[in-house]
Amino acid sequence: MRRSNLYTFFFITVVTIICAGLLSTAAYLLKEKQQVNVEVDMKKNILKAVKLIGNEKISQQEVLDSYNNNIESYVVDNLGEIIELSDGISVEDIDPEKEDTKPLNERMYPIYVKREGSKISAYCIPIIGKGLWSTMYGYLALEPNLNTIMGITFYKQGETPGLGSEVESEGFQSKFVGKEVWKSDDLVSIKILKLEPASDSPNIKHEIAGISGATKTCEGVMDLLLKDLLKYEKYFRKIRNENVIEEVVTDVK
Amino acid sequence: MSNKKTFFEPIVHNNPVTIQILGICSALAVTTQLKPSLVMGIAVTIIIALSNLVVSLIRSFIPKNIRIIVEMTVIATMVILVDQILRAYLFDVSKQLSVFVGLIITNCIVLGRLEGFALTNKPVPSILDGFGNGIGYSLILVAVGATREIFGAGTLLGFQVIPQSLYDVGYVNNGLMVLAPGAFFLLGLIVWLQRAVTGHYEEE
Repeated sequence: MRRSNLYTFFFITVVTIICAGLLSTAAYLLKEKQQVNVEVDMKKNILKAVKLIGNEKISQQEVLDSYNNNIESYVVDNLGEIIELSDGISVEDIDPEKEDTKPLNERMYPIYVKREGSKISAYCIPIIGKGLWSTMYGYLALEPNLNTIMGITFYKQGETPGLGSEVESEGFQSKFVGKEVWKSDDLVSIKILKLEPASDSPNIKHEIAGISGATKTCEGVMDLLLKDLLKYEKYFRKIRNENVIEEVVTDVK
Repeated sequence: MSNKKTFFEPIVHNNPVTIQILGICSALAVTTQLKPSLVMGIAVTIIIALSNLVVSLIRSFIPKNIRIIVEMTVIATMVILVDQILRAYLFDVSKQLSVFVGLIITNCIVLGRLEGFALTNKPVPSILDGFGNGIGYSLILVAVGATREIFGAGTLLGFQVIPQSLYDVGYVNNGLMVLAPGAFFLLGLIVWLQRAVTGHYEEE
C-alpha cells in the first residue's frame, strides 16, 4: 500500500516525538539516582586505592560514611601550593579532565589523603588518560613517603572487554602495589612489560608484567601515570623535603 | 507456525548466529570472558523482545519506504532506555555493559528480526520470536565465552578452574583464545558441529 508523503512525514514526526519524550523523561527521572551512583563509585575507588576497603560488597551509605570519616581532600596548584576553593565548590566536584584544558596557572589538582590521628597515612591522586579506545579513569594511592605505590584503581574505561578492560581487574592492579615512582631524583612511570620482569632486573622496582592482547591499553596506562604524577611533582618534592628534615630532626633528638 | 515453534526454532534449528550467521561481530568482540558474554546475551534478548513488540504493534501504520528508519529509531530508543535504567539501578552491570551498548544498536539480529518477523506478525508471536532469538544468540555467546575464558585465562567467571598443580608441571594458557582469531575458530567449530549433527545445508 502506497501512502502519501504527508502521512510519511506525519508518522515519522510522531515516532520521533514519542521516542524523544520517552528518553528525556527517563533521563530526567533517573538523573539524581545516577549521579549518586557515580559519586559513590568515585569515593569507593578512592577508598579502595588507599586500602580502606577491599572487594567486598558494601552499601552506598557505608561507602559515604567511611569516606567522610577517613578521607580529607584539598587542592594544590601548578606550583605545589595548597589553594583555597571558593565557596560552594568541593574538591570532589573538580573534574581533572576539564582542568587540563585551563591555562597552566589556573589549574587545580585535587589530592585525597587518608588521615590516622595527626599523621597522613596515604596520598591519593586521580589518574586519567587515553587507552586504545577510551579514556580511562582511576586513582593512584602512594605511601606517606610519596614513592611506594599503595594501590591503584581504574573504575571507568571502555577498553576491549576481556583484554584492555582487565585494567579493572584485581590481578592487574595488585601488581602495582609496592612499586616505586621515584628513580633517584626523577618521577618515573611504572614500565609495563610483556612478561614478568626478571628477578635480577635493576629496574624491578619500576616494572610489572602487562596484559596479553592489550599492549596499547598498557602503553596508555604507562603514559597517564607519568603525566599525572608530574602534575604533582612540585608538591610531592616539598612534602618529601619536609619528611627528610623531620627525619633528620628526630635523629638529632 | 505455532507459538511454541516460534520460540524454540531460533534456539537450535534456526539459530541466528550459527545458521543465519548474524551478530557475529559482537559474538567475537565480547566473548573473551563468560561474564560480559552473559550480560551481553541478556541485554540483547531483552532489547530484541521489546523492539519486536513495539514494531509489531505499530506494523500496520509504518510507511514501507521509511520502515528501516522507524525500526532503527525504535531499537536506539530501547537500547538507551535499558542503559539508563541499568545506570540507575544496576550500576555495576552498566559499567560492564557501557561499551557494548553501541554494539547492540548495530547488532544485525535485532534489525533482522524486526524486518523478518515483527513487521508481519502479531505482538505475542513477535515477543516469543524475540526471546527465542535472544536466547539462541546468548547460548552461542556463553559457549564461546566459557571456552575462551577457561583455556585463555584458566578461570571461569573470575574463579580459577585450572588447578595450579597443572601450571606447575608446565601447562600454559592458550594465548590464541584471548585474541579475536580464537573466537573465529571456536565459532567455526560450533557452526560445523551443528551442521554435521542436524544436516543443515545452505540452499544453492
